Amino acid sequence: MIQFKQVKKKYNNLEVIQNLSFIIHKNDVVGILGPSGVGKTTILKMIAGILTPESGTIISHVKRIAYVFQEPRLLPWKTALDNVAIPLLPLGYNYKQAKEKAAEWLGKMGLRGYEGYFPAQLSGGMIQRVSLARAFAIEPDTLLLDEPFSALDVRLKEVLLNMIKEQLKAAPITVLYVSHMPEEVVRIANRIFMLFPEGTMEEMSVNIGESFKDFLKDAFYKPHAGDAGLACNDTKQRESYACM
Amino acid sequence: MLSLFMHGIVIASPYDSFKALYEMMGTERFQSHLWITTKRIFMGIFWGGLAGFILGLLAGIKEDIKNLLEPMRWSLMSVPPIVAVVIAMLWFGMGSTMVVFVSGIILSPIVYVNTVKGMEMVDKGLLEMGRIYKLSLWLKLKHVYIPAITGPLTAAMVIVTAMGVRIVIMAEVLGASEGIGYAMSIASATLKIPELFAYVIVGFCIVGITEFLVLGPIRDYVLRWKGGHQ
Ligand SMILES: Nc1ncnc2c1ncn2[C@@H]1O[C@H](COP(=O)(O)OP(=O)(O)OP(=O)(O)O)[C@@H](O)[C@H]1O
Ligand SMILES: [Mg+2]
Repeated sequence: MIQFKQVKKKYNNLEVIQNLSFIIHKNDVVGILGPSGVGKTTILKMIAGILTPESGTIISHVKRIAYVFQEPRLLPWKTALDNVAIPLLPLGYNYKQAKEKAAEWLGKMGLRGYEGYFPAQLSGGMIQRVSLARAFAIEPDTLLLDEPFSALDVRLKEVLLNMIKEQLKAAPITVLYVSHMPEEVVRIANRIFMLFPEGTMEEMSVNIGESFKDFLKDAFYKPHAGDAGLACNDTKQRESYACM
Repeated sequence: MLSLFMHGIVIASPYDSFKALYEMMGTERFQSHLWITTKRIFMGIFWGGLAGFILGLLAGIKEDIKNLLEPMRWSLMSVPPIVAVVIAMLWFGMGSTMVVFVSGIILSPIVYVNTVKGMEMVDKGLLEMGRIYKLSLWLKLKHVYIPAITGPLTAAMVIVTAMGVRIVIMAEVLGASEGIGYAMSIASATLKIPELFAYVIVGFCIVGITEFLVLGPIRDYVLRWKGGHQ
């Protein structure tokens, strides 16, 4: 279980998160949507314990967390195999076992044959998949995914979404999935959080069917009726789904 | 060029120098000087480098250690090498211990500073990754910090090598009864100028050989991940 109670987070003078409260239960799969810069990554970092809030409390019963960062953060001087194997070492695997497990997960990500490649020799999408393999390999009870598919083509995204879905069915874990893409999130999430630029959050129903994207568009605009600042003339805003 | 205009006694022509070098090379005396100096250079670079590296790692990990070491490396770096030689001669007398000590003490702060700076510049994102995946300090050192600093450090080692050669030879000139530096001091005292310059050429060669044949391949190996193709 992860609980936020009236959590506030500021960077210098910039209030990013205001009074955020929610409860995520064990094995919930939560999609977090919101335009660029609202604080999605900030929330994941607070859950992971690498950022602390200014005020409020975070209660977390997480034992083993895996984090797929927005930028993949592989060790550039280690091969794909070592990048996946090294986080297994603190868990009591010896190097040989760690490499076997790493190879298995690289295989599941469609990277068989690339074990010996350095990150500089891999494509952006391959790097993201190594980062996913690293996260799954440690068998986390909580998985934080920060736009894990942003560098993948549609077909590969489909394959990996299905793979993750299968994986979650076989071994359910808590997942927080950050994305700009509602259609991606509905595929695996059973709850959806929508973040707004003024630092608030709303939970959405997942079962809205086809008109989901339109609904989100409306939901996104509702609280800002008449707020010209939110129009899609800002490039940062335009990148978000609400302006698509 | 210079030697065309100046008197032969002050500066030797390349021809005379190489001729002297050629004549010297066969002699057992020269070989033993060369061997001793080379050994001292490697020992000085090895001990100075190791001390600077380990202290730099410690300082990079713990702020307290850094605050403690910072004034020390400051004072070490501001001691003129010649003073270091004189002091070391008082402590260790003439010979190898003194020469290795002096070069080590002068080289270690350079390695130390580069190690500390390198650790400060390690990608914060990778350190966060290490924290999330609960890497122990040892694993972080081995897989994050040390690989990250090998780049800047191999560059520093080029400077350290060249300095090491000069310092060892200088220390030998002042306080040793063997080695290239000692031979140079004899050559200059007896006005054997071509021989003196022959030893300067030997100095070049030692720097060149360590840089291209030792440091180069090491650097290429540790930085192979930067390369494009397999
Ligand atoms: N270390 C930092 N220092 C100062 N400001 C920061 C820092 N990290 C994030 N911010 C600011 O906080 C806000 C939220 O950032 P965050 O990375 O959480 O957004 P995000 O929702 O993940 O955006 P995106 O979808 O583009 O990844 C942004 O305005 C950003 O400028
Ligand atoms: Mg983000």
